[in-house]
Amino acid sequence: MDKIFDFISEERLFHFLAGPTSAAGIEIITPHLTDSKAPLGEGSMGTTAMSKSATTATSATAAATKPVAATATTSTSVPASTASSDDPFLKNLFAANKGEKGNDLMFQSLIKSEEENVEKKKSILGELPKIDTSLFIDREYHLKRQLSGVKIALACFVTLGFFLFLYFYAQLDPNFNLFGSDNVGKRLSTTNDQLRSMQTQVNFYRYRIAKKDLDQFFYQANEYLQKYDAWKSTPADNPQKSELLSDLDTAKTDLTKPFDDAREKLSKSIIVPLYHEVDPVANRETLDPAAAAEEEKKLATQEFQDSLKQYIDTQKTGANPDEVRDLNEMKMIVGNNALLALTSTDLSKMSHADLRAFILQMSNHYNQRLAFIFHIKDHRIPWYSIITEIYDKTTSIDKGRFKTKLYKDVGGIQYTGFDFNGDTGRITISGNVKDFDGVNFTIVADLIDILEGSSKFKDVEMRTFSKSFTSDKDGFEGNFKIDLSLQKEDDRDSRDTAVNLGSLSNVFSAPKAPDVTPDVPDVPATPATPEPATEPAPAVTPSPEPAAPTDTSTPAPAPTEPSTTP
Amino acid sequence: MDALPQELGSPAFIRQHYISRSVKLYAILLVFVALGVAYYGIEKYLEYSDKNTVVAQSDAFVSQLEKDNKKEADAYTAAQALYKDTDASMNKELASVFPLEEDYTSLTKEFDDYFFSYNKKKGNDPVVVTDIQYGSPTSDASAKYDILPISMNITASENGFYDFLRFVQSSGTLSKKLRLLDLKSIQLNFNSDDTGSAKSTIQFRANLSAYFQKTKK
Repeated sequence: MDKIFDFISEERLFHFLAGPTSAAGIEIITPHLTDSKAPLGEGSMGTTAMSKSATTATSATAAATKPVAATATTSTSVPASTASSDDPFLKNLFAANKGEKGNDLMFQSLIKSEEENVEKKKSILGELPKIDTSLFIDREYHLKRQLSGVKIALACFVTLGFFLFLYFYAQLDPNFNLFGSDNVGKRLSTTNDQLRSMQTQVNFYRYRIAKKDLDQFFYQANEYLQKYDAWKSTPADNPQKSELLSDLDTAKTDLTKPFDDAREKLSKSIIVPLYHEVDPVANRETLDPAAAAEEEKKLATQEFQDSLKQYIDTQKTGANPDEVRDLNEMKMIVGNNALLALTSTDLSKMSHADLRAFILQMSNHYNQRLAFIFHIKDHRIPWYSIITEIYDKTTSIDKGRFKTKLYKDVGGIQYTGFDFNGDTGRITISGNVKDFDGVNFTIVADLIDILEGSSKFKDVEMRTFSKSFTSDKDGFEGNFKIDLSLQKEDDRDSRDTAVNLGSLSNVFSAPKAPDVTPDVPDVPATPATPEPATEPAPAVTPSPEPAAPTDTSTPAPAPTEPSTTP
Repeated sequence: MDALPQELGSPAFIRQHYISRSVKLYAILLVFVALGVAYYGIEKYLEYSDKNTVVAQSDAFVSQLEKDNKKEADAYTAAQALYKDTDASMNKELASVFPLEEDYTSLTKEFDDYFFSYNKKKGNDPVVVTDIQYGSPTSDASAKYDILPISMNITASENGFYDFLRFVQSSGTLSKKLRLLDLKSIQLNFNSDDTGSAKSTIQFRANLSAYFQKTKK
């Protein structure tokens, strides 16, 4: 029986579902199955069959919410004549299917109520959004238009960039010469080269003139130094002294002019303002303006030196050694900051002594033949002055005996040899000392002391004393060998002050004139007569040569002859 | 009413999505390109403008430098003319005092001239040079000039010795045209028989340096 009910139930359901539209069928069956008061309970069908039918129908309803549920509508159509004629619901339903509208109102009412129920059981999320498909079409159209617009704009900008590049390349690159005429870059490059070349030319002439002026300055300085030495070595009471000073003033004027001319040329800038793609002064931002300017000057100097070097190289093939030498000497002025600083000095306000020191200072920084000569002469040791000093000191402690040709008879100090070494500044004095009282050691000790007291010597040393006695007639005799060093003025030690140094000029100062009578040995030396007020003491102690002897036959100032015989 | 195919995941939607994304990418690219082009254009324009200005200014500067160049060239010519005589005499004197070569033969003649002249004047007080030795030239420590070492053995009176010292000391004087010399060391021995006399004999060995200009290698 259950199977029969099942069949009937399924058959009814199929009939029910075989509506005008499958969708309507689904919609119809749902309220029928869910409504407990439906006429399904009225027939002979048992509860079990109804429940099963309802279950099946519920499944169909549930499936109807999905699109696939629509397939249920395509199920095999069952003929209406096979349906049971006992079911009024089915009768009505099938009557409707056959076009009978008898129960339409009720059917609509059912549909309505069912729709209301469905409405009540709607999801809380509300209805599914409805999509306006026209929007899809418009949006894609607009997007495509936008894309095209952006692409066109991009292409325009790329094209613009390309043309800008072409334009500026054509205008700014000095190598671009497609149209025959010079562009800005080319003109700028040409102008820069022109400026650089012309400034180099100007610098070249200025430095050549400056070198000529400096050469003249040193040439005049040579004369000046000779006159200075002559004037300096002339005693103050000599009537020629004022005349020599007048000559010296004239010589000073003569050398001041070329020096001023050189200063005027060298003070001018060698830098030409150029447009640089890249600033030649690296890290200019981190430098202060003075340092940046100095760096710029250094670079310009280097560039000028390089161009000079190239020029000199080309001149070397011309085999003009004087020209090449002059150019090389000129090149040494370029960038010689020490020399350039010295050229800013005002010579007219200098005293003669300061000017002399200044000339020697200049010669140390000027790479020119005359400057070398000054430098060499400045470092020569005045041996004549050294020997004179030794004799003077010896005479002062061996009064009446030294150099009297009476050594055998009266004794005293007799030198047997000198060894002067200018490279080391060491002097070795050897000799004999004879005394009838036997105080030979005292005489030698006095000699050591007085030599040490001289401002010309230091480190005077003899640690072994010896003597021998032969007979009363010959007295005591011994030999000595004293080592000492030359001393510069700034090396003076405390022992120098223990002895009167008033008359002693420094070993590196101007020696006496050859024709000047030496000091009387047994009279304490007196300070030299002060210079005129216009001539202060030199700031730097130079070491000049002595005034050149005017006559080589002039007898040497023989170290002191005794004024009295013992 | 074909609504469902236009929803998410549909080809049209995916196409629109890609179009939209392309629009954004192109727009970003466009912004960067536009900024780049603008930056490049401004930079180059400024450079162009600067260079134009510099060229205009440099033209005036070039003409100024041309005047300066001519002026300095004239001044150099004038200086050459002014110092022509003194340059000539200076070069002549320097050639004697500080020659280009070691020129020891000329120096030997100078020594002989000096001693001959002295002995001629002081016939009873002669200076006798027994030997002169010239060493190999060396460069000065400063490498500015070269040095010719000389060693001489001389027998002279004390006056003769002092005169020789002055001769060396006065060397290098341009007006005298004496070769520049420097006495580096002396070893002298007095004759013990008659020391103290102005005519006493001194035997000494003098080591000197004669200077000449640095030979350019």
